[in-house]
Amino acid sequence: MQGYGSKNKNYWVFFVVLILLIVLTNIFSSSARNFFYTISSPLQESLWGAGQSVSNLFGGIASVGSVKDEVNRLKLENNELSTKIVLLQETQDENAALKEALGLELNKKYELILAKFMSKNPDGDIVSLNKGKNDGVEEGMPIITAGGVIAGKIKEVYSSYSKASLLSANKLTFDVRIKHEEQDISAVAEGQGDSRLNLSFIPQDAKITDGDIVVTDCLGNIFPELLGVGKIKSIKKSDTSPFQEAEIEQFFDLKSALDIFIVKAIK
Amino acid sequence: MKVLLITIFLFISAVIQVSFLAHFPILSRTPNLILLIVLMWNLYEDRDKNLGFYIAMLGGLFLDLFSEGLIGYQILLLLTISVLIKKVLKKHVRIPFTQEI
Repeated sequence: MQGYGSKNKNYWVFFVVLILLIVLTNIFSSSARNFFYTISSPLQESLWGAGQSVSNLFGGIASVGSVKDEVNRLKLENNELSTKIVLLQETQDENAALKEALGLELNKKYELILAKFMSKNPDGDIVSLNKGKNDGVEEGMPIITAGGVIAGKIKEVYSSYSKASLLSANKLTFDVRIKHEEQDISAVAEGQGDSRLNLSFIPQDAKITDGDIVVTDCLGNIFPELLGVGKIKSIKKSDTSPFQEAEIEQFFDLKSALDIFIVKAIK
Repeated sequence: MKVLLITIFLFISAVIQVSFLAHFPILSRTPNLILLIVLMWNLYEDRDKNLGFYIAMLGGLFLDLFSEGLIGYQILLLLTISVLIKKVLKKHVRIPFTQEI
């Protein structure tokens, strides 16, 4: 009986300690998270790089069979693109816009902070970066690659690290433009989680095709304009809906990205 | 000493989960190494011992620290799993290769 009473007491003590732990860590969550990220950041960076290398190695081995097909496909695409470049070079304005979209003048357009990925949240498309408040990072700042491709935006900022939502993070929405031949079609991109990104509110009468390039729009002030988002992958058209929908194949690939730029300001 | 070693082990496992295993998603989800540790420990530990609860609590805490939102969700989830295994499952089901009930 005494043993049973003592056991009961232990459970109560454990329960109280648990409640205190949860309450205190929530009150001091910023400091607690910042502390753990600071002490684990060297290990996280190493493991992130190692994970990428191993993942790329296995990916390469698995895709050996399809490499030849991919090379042939890319050769054809390269030829088509070469032709397009010749046509585009004849139009100076469009060439300048493409150059901007390709991010060849990133440094002249934006004030950038170089950052590295450290980890990915176990429960969503949220990543940690090794720069924080001490480095001038603020909430809402976009994150882009060296090639001018948009990857996401800063969601939470701590002293020495920050968290960013990727484009595919659940419920992240932003305005985009679909480049179809000579036209610009406005639409809204919405993250679906699990690395999926959808387009919605595409006018029913808009002519779009698989492979059309999607870039950011500055409406809504979420991202700067003309940053690469992806290509249209599959279009869903319904007679009963006033709008079309489509899936996007993103240009940004987290598996192969090591460095990223945080856009501090637009010059 | 044992508790300290377990704490360090769980911390490193959580870091491996969010940084290394993030590159190996299964059905778009990062493999949950901490959950696996909690499950295995509670299945193989004696019903009368309580280290499994401590492991569930600490593992949940580290996962919550590396996630966003309120701290406590993963702690409570893993503790519930731990209690269910220890107090319910092992009481009524004989699990192969573990202690006899």
